[in-house]
Amino acid sequence: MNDNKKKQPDCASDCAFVDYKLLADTAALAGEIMLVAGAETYRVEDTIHRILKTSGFQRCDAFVIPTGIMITLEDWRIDTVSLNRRIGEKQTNLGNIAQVNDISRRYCSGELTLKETFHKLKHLSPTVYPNWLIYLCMIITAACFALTLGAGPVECVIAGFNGIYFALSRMINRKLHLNSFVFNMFASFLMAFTSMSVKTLWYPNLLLEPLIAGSIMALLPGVAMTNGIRDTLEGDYVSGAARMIEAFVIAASLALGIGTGMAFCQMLFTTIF
Amino acid sequence: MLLHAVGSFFAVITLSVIFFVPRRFLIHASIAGMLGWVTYIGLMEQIDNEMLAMFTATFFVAVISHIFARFCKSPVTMFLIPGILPLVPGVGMYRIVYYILLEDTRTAGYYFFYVLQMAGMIAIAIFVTDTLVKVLLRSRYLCRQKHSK
Repeated sequence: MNDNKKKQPDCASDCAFVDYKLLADTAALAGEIMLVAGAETYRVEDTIHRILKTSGFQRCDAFVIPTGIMITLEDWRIDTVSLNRRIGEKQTNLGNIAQVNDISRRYCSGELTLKETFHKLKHLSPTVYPNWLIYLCMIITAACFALTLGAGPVECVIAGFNGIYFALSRMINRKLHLNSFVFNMFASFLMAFTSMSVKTLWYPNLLLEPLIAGSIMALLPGVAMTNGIRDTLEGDYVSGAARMIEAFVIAASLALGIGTGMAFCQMLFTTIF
Repeated sequence: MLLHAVGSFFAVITLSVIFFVPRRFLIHASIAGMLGWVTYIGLMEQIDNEMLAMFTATFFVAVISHIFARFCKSPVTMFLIPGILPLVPGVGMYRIVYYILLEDTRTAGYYFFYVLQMAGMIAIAIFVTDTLVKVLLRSRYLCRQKHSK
């Protein structure tokens, strides 16, 4: 006790420099941006922990799962601060991850003050490409992946056409904010339907395999899967399992769409002809 | 081969735009992706071992991503995620669905495990690279500490 009393004055003055509530807020904000942008859980935890550690408090704990963040700052000099953030819809944005990483690194090395850091995070200029470019890119991606998987020119054109469905579904989803499961399924249904129709009605020796595999390539849960496995191997079993399930759900939605599309098409053409 | 290279290069560059990779890193990410895919295709022609080819290709991508990340001072994820996407077994996933539709569950099961194996190979290659880099950095740090003493 005596020790504490002796320490208290200069620690209190130390404390005055660190606005601990703002610190917790900053850490939570950084974590939130990174998690929404699709960073791995251990990276988010590490960033939050580093930011909190600069305060020198006794306990700085961050617990992150793919759907939420929990932060606690604990010290005898301050009231315990505890924060919870719930993360909803995610949008892969690697540019934002890089920016937050950069800002937190500069803060931890003492280059930025806490207020500047918070301001920078709050007014982060997000890496944005215009919407039309993204839609165009979805089309080109589908065509190019079909090409690498061994398709000819006709398949590439149809794959590009299939890319339009995904661009459309993304466009509608942005307006409606429903879950992406339905939209992925719907888009891949249309895609499989188109490919099968072209094959049966117009071009019988169309290679379906590279065409469909190439078209869905842009939507495959590569990010979720890689992050899931990385998280699992880092020891975050909860997040790892959650990400794996995320990957499985996306894959299942695509598979369901393709399956129903092909089955529907077969049924339709066998009844008509 | 050239066709594969060009195709994967443009595929990864457009994919990086969808993932909002900043403009100055687009080329880096697509070079990583292209080299990975070319390695995979080249190895598949030489040796008849898909798992080994996948492992080597992903290992290659991961090493390149780490090198780029050092040079550009940005997180590894930025190059790694677009880089490995061409290697993600999309054809395998398609085949699972296709054979389920044909009610050939045995072949569907075969492709299910094939996809799991490929995904596992990707993961292990990334993990091995991460660990190697960590060991390297750690040993360099320890060496420096020794010298300063």
